[in-house]
Amino acid sequence: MPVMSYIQAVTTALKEEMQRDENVFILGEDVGKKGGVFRATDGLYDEFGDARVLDTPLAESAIAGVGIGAAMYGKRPVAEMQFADFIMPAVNQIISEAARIRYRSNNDWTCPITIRAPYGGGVHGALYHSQSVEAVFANQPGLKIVMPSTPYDVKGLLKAAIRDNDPVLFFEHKRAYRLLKGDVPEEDYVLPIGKADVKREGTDITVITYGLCVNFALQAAEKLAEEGIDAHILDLRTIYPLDQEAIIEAAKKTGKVLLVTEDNKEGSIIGEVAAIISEHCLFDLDAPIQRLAGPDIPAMPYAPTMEKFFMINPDKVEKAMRDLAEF
Amino acid sequence: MPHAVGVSLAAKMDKKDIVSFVTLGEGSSNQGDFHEGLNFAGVHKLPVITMVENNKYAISVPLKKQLACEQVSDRAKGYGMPGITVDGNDPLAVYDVVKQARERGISGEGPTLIEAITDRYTAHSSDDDDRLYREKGEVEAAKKKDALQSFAVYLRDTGVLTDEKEEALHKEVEQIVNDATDYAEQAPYAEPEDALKYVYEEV
Repeated sequence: MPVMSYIQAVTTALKEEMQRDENVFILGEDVGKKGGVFRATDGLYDEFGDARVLDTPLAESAIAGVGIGAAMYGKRPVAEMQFADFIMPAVNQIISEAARIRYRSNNDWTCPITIRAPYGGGVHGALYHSQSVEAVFANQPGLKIVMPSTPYDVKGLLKAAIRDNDPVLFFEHKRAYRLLKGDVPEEDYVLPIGKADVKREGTDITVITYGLCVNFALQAAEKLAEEGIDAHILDLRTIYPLDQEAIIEAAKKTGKVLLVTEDNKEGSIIGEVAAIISEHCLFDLDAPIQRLAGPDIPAMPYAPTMEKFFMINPDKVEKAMRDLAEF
Repeated sequence: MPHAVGVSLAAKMDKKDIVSFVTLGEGSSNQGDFHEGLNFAGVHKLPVITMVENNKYAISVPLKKQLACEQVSDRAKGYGMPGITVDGNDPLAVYDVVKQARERGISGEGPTLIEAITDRYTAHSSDDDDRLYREKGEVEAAKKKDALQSFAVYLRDTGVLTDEKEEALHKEVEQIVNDATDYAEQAPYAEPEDALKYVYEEV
C-alpha cells in the first residue's frame, strides 16, 4: 500500500474523481498552471486542461457563487478557497445560498458543491493564514463540514464529499499537508460523511477531537500508555452535523471526557459536543467534561513564542489527558 | 448573479447552446456579487445576459446616491463587455437588444450588460410611503410612459389590437389570476412537521 502525505491524498482524490466523472471540475485562485499555492491541484491542469481546472479572478464570493450556479445546473464543482481565512467574502453565498437551495426549493434543486480550504496554524501564517473558521458554518443546516485527520481519511472523505448531493465544506489542516503521512490504498473507496471514527480503543479516558489534533492526541496516548493510562480516541471527522451516537458511546465508555480543538474555546464545535454529552451521559460521567482549546483572542500571533502559546501540541494534550485520568 | 454565471459556465463546458439571463435592479448593481459575477463572465467570455431594471430608486435612495458613474451600463467597460442602455418602456427596443445579446452569447462573443430604464409606479411595498422621497407629479408623469398604455396605443395604431381582442385578453388574464388565487386560498397548509423536510437529501 502506498504511503502518502495528507496533501498527496487530496490531489489523488481530486484526480481520481475527475477521471471517474467528467462533471467534476475545479475552480479557484492559482489552481491551474501553478497547481495551487500548496500544490494541492498539482498536475491536474496538465491532465484535464483549463476548462476543468479554472483559474479564477481573486474574488471568493464569485468562486463560491459561480460554483453554486454550476452545481445547480448539474456539475460537481470543487471550489478551492486559497486559505480558510479567505472564505469570509463568500459566507453569504455559502450560508444564504448553498445551504438553503434544497430546502427553499422544496427539494426541487440541489447544490452538490464541495468547497475545500486549508485552515489552522502552526506554520507562521499569522492573522490571515491561520484561522479555524468551522464554527462560523457549524450552525447552518443544509451544510456538511468535514475535517479529516489522516491521509487515508482525506482520500475517502474527499471522494465522498464530491459525490455527495449536498454542499460540503472540506477543511484541510495546512500543517498536516506535509507533516502527516500514512497508508492510502490505491483502490477507489469512500468513507461515510456524518460518521465519527474511533482512532484508538481505550478504557480509562476518552478524547474527542478532529483534524490535526487527532494526531496530537494519538501521540499523547502512546506516551500515557507507558504510564498505564489507556485512552479512547474518537475522531469526529464530520463536525457538522455531529455524529451524536458515536459521541455518546465514546463518552459512556470511560466516563471521563476531554474535548480538544485548535479553534478559540468559546463558541467552538466542542462546546456543542459537551452539550450532547451532558444531555445524554450525566450519570455515566466520573469527571467534569474538560476542554482544551485555543485561547479567546482574535488572531493567531506571528511571534513564534505567541504562536506556540496559541497552538495545541502533543505535550498540552498529554498534560490535559493525564490530569483527567488522575481526577 | 454569480449563479447565472455558473450556469452559463456549465453549459459552455457541455457545449450547449444555452444563454443565461439574469435580472436585477440598479440597487443590487452596487453589490459586490454583481461586479464579481460580471468580471468572471467577462474573463471567461461566458454567455450571460445581465439585465438591470433601472427604476431610479432603491426603495427611497435615488440614482445619484447609488451610482458614482452616470448610468449602470457604464460599468460594462470594466468587465470587457458591451453595456447598452435601452428604454425599458419600449418592448420592441428591449426585444431587439436582448436578441442581439443572445446572438453574441451563442456565437461565443461573451456576455452583455443591458440597462433597461423604467419607472416604479407605486411605493416599494405596502409599508412604504413614497411621498416622503418622490416629487409630486413624478409618478403621474412616469405613468404616461407605462408600456401597458403606450404599447397598447402602438398596437392599435398598427391594427394589431382591437377592442374585442383587448377585452378578451383582459378577461383571460383576469381568469388566470382568479383561478390561481382560488387554488392558493383553497390549498391546505403544510403539516407543521414538514418544516423538517429536505434539509439534506432524503433517501
